Amino acid sequence: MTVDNRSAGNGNSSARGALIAFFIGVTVITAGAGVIEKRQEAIRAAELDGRCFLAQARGLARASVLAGYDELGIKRLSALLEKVKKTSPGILSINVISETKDDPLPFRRRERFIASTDSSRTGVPLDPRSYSDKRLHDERTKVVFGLKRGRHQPGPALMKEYDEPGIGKTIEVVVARKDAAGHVFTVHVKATPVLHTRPVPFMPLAAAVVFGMAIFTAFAWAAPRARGVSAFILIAAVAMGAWYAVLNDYFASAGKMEARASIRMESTAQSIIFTLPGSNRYLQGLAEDMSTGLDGRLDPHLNISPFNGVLKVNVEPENRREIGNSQAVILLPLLLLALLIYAWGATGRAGRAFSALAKHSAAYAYTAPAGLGMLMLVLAPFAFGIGLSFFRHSGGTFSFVGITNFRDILLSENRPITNPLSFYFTLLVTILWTAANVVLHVSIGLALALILKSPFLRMKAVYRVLLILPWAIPNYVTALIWKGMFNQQFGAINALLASLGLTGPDGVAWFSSFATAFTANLVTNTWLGFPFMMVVSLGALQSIPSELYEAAKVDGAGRWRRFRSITLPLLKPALFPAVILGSIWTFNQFNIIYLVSGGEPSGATDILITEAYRWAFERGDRYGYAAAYSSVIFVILLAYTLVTSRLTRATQSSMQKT
Amino acid sequence: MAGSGRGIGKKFVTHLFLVAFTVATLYPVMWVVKLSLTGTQGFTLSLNPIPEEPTLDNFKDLLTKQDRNGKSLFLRWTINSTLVAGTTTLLGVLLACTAAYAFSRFRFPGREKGLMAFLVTQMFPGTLMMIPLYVIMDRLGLLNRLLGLALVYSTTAIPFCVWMLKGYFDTIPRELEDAARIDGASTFRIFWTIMLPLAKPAIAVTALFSFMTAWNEFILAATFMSKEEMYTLPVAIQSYVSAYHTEWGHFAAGSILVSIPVVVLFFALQKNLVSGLTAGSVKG
Repeated sequence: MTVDNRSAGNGNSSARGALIAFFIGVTVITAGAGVIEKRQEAIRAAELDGRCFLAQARGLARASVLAGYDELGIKRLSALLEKVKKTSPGILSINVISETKDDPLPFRRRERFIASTDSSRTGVPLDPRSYSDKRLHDERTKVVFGLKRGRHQPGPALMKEYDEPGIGKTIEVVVARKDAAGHVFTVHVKATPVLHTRPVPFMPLAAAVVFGMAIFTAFAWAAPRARGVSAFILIAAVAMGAWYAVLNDYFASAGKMEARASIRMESTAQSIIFTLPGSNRYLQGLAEDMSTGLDGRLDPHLNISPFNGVLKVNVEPENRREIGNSQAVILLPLLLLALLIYAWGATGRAGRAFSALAKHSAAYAYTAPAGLGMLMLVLAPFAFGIGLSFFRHSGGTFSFVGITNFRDILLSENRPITNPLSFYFTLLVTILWTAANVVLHVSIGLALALILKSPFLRMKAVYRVLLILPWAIPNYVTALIWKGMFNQQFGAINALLASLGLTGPDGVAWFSSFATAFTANLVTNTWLGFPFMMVVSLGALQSIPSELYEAAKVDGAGRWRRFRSITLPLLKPALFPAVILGSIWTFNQFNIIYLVSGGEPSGATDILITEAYRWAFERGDRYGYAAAYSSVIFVILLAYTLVTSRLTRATQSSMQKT
Repeated sequence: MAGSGRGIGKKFVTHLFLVAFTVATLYPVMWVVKLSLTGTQGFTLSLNPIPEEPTLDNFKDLLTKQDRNGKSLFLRWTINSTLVAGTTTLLGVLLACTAAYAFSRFRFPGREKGLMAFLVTQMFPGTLMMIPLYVIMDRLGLLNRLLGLALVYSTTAIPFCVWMLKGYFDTIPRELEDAARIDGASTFRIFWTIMLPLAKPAIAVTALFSFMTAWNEFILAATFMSKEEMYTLPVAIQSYVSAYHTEWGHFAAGSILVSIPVVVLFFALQKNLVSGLTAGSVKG
């Protein structure tokens, strides 16, 4: 339709576009409303089924064994252990109990520490900052081996669902465990869901959007030139609708679920987790710690009975599940999409796009398959990820928090810049990492290419073939091998240094200081990356006509002069894209950092991308925070590329002039 | 540069430097070989990269590893990897060639933006994509399926391939096509019978990169493939050096087996690598 009216006046066609877009927008919203309605029903059904609640009950069971799920848990645990040691001098030993979290997502499967330390290390505080704390790692390994040899038995969680008369659907979870001495202890969790649901107020928001669009369309029709005014009205209407919805806390209180649960822990021995003379004071501390340790998840009122082999903790949590928020995840992008489509049509761009589509159909047909694939599997996840950065994830529930994540990142949660967890510290390390790598890659690659291009050099094909070998080897293999080579005891690097007499027999502990760990990463990545630059430089050098050199030679230009005035300027256009791409790859080089230094010491050598990964999968499943972190990485890279591509264009145009 | 007799000393120095550098480069590789040929699973290695008592036990262990039903697991993993890498290569080359051709030869609205968008996707941090991708794959029923992995890999390989191929197509003179068009050839015919054969070196490199992306990738494969019989080789090999136990010998043997196809391909295509990779970027 728009295609036929290509010749129509500009204002007229844009009004028509606005009308079409209006209908499309309304259709999208209506369809979205249907989807949401259906989903809401499904959620309600599932919840009444008790399935959603099951996860919570399981969570409670785990939490009740003194949660050490994430580094925060470990931190609290270590603080607690210190306290216990001070108040109870008779402490004998503290065992590590670990359990494996089973999850369909393999990267989320992991063990959890319930308690840690051993008596020989009394007085040595655990380092709570690092998940990969060496000692914790050793403890864990010990336990895992113990489990394997059958010394510890990770008892299966038994679960029962039944209707309790007068109360409703009830879930009982029993987790049984056996410790090293053969004492069995069990954790019972009994929980009853209480569900209040209120439908999500989709209608007011949708109405606001539709209303805004209608006004805009009317304006576009009546006064095609006053687009600015009508756009303002549209935005104002939508903003008011959204404000109304948010202000009324609709999203937050749309569905509320309370859980009443009681937790009981029993043991056949005096030692449940801690082998220590019964101390009620300690138990009080334990209870306090549990209540602080479970913040956000539970609001417990703890009653503790005297310790005589049975530790009873009754928790009366008011655990809210905000159903509305999970729908906001769908709702907000949908409304945004509708608005975008609308704006697209209303500004007359859609009409132009349709006619372009018809005119250049061949070009679009050729690009469509690749474009479609990218849209589905690259752009859609990306958009989803950006959306995720405005949410907070906790125990399977996402709640909308606006820009809180970004604020926390940019203010580094008040950490000083010298703290490796500070965003700015990591940013500086990342910049240093990228710059050092790119400089080394380019200079080594270029130097080798200059040597190898010499026409009189024999066996250059052999050298070339052998020198690109590092590129061909999978980089995770490279990373692990180099990690081994940097091993303090067995590594080849220390052996080499010792045989050269540079270090003593103890060798260098490569991963215990920032400078050496960073060097180890750098060496690995340089080994990995120079072949690419060498090949690019070789190709670029081949394309420089040799007559230029001949002429320069005749003019009496020296070797350095020829390099400065012929080689470098002619190489620039070929090297620039490679350098940009190389720096982006290095900036996001996950495998090397993660596998070689693993962020040691204490996360100091982590770069932004590994830090984001740790926030997502190693520090309490903070998916939203990690997504925000990744978004910041993306913005930094985008800014970098925009600046450098402007530079490239400038050099290229100056090249063409000469 | 130094062809005369005066240059012999200089030549010697050049060769000395190159040999030293090559040995340094190959040293870690030799180490892997030594690990794989040493019977133990430990990491006690000295400076000497030559294995003292070579044995093929590690390779034997790997190749004869069986699942509960007595089927060879290693064979299964190899088939998985081959299928995924093969499909990725086919899909990646096909999609990248058509798109690059359009970007090189047609002038259409959105061309610049499309090219820019392809470049921008290179900046998406992988951690941001992992969870959404998992959800999407789950919805499409592609988890634990080789096709799903191949689709993801080919889309991740596309941007780089498109840029490379587009650059190469740009260097092919337009006169050839114009002549064919006058003779009445269709756009597709020109693309198929003229452009593709002329762009062979670049296509070979594209294929190599697509293949490598799929063959070497680890994190996504570990995320999407939870069943042992659906593992690809990198995931399988990685499992030999997990947090609980490390079998360096098996790991090294596996690494070598995984690397061989890529290395062979690299060497077979290395001539094209230089021309294919840079012909485009020289022109920008």
